[in-house]
Amino acid sequence: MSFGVEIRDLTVRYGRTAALEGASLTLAPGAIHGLLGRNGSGKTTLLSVLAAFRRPSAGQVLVDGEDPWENPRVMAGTCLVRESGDVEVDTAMRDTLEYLEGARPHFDRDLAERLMDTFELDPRRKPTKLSRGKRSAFGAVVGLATRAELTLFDEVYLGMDAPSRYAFYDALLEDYVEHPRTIVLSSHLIEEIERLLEHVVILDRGGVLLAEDADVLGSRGARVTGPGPAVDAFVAGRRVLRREHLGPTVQATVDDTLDETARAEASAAGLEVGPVDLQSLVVHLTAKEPVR
Amino acid sequence: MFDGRDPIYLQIADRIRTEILNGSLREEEQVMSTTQYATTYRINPATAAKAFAELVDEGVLYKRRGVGMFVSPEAREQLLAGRRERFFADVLAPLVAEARVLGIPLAEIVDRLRQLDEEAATTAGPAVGRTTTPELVPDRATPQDAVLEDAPLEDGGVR
Amino acid sequence: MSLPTSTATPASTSSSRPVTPSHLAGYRVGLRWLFQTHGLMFTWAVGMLVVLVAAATIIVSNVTTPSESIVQYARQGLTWFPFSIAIVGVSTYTNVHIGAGLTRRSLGWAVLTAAVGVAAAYAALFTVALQLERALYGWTGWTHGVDGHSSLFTDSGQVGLVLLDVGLLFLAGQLCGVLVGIVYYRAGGWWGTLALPLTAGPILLVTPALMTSVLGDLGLAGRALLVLVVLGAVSFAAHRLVLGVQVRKLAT
Repeated sequence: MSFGVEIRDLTVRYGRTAALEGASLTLAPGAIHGLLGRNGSGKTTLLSVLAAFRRPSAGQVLVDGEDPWENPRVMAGTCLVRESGDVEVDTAMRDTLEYLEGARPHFDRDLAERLMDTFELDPRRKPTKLSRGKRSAFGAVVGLATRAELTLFDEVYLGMDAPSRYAFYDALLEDYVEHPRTIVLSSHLIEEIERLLEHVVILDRGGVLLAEDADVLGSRGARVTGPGPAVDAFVAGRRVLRREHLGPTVQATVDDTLDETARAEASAAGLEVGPVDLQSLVVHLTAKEPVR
Repeated sequence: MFDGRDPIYLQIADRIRTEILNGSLREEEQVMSTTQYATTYRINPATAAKAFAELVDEGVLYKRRGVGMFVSPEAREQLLAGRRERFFADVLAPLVAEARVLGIPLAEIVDRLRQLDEEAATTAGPAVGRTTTPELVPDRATPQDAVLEDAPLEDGGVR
Repeated sequence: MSLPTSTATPASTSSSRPVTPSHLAGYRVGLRWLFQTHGLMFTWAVGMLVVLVAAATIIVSNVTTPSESIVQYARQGLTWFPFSIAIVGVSTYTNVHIGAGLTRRSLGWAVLTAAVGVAAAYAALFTVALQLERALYGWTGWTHGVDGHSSLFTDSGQVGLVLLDVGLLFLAGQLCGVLVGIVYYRAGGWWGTLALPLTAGPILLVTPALMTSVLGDLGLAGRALLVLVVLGAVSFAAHRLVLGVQVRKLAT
């Protein structure tokens, strides 16, 4: 009951600008994927194509093996929640839930009601009357209760305050373990969602910069600290993402998975080697001007 | 609860090993399910599952179909054996290396180790000794001549 | 990638209706939404019609002896009121429908069906109101005159012609409303407004075709055919535009 995703050379243009250009990607069914990247890197466009909100300009998109465009089965099994959701904003939320119960094959009304409680949403109110955070929370309710085989959250949690965000992560995990499905969380706030992810995709300027298992990515990159010359000698030949001075001490962030030999070599040279968190890695990898 | 150094699944596996070693998880006891682990610690269930799979491979845990994961009867013994083996490589080898750098003779180290061992045997465990019985503190530091060499040895030995 | 969770069950619920995804299922959902929205507004229209006609009748009958129908002047109001609802309906519901995982094809047929249904309901409302008024005039002895130049019917007793006349007019209003709405949705405010002569214009084309005074030479059948051709073209355009619609970005 989970949809996998296969994308080949996907290009999407808005007028003359290309939001995505030649992107290729595979998302395994049943996993929680993170879609990371800066604003304007193409995250929303990619999700819009998967949900058949938009038609690609070129390339191939397969969701559960089929083109999602105008495909009743695939579209019914795909749910994209954009920020506050594509719901009627001038109608009581209760009516929207009732509508979705009739429209979505696996919609769980009980779960929706429970989540409305969790997020302290009054079903009689209209989304227009709510704060941005509460509207986002309603988007989260819709996304989770729809139980779609491919559930896409496009930065839903942005407006939500911290307690609501954590309530969302908890609800997501709880429902995911009971009803495994493919979930994509897009965000540029990485730290909070990092541990929820099994697989990470980073978009940059309309292309797929990397797509890797979260574990692999977690051990990627290293921060090398020590006297300037020693650091420079060690990082020579490696890809340096960032170099900082702290007096005579230099800290260089390299995009390299250091093996035992490299680590031993570093410690012999009197260098300290530390890990790079995913947030910094993404920031450095997608920096506007790549550092030498 | 997790630090950024190792992959989280390794940290979970380590945590369970430690719980078995210190007795808070007993043999044949059921461990948390991956589901419980995932929701309790807000991590991806696949990550938790990976940790459990590793422990099953090692024989520390075993699976009862449809029931869950349990601590193997020989898990503690096995973990102790493994740690004992690593003790020489991870603790003793660097200690000896550091002692050579500092010029501390092996005999002195052995003497000191014996002394420490006796103390550990007389005090009823480290937790009691440290927190509730301050009168034991001077006792631990009695050998006046040892005070000066104390710092370098511990410094090198503990790392 | 299967998870070793013993509690895992398929992502389905035991509760309520099993919706099997299909264009037809989506069509039903869309139609239900559109009829609900229009239905609410229709009750408003009934209320307004009754109040306004009653008020006008009382005022006129106090000043003079009424010699023509007041209901007949509701022909314009009952065209443009549901027309505006159709515009708003299409431009707000497109996101909701596709966002709920339903196809454009189902949406396209639902809006066309709703247009026919809504036009029929308003035509029935108009006809019933006109006949009730006629009965009232007959009882009070007033003359129930109608403007025979602007419509297919020349006498309020011609129920069939009344239905056909306002049915075609209101259908033109509905179909053009759908067209205006989808063009606004797709092209935005500027282009939507600039395109109004093309999108709302067909109503103004239908109006003279229904007038005896303008195209009288064509005969009833000829004029009805002309109207149907125009409405067919509008329907086709609206349907095509719905089929290719891309969901708009959110304005945040």
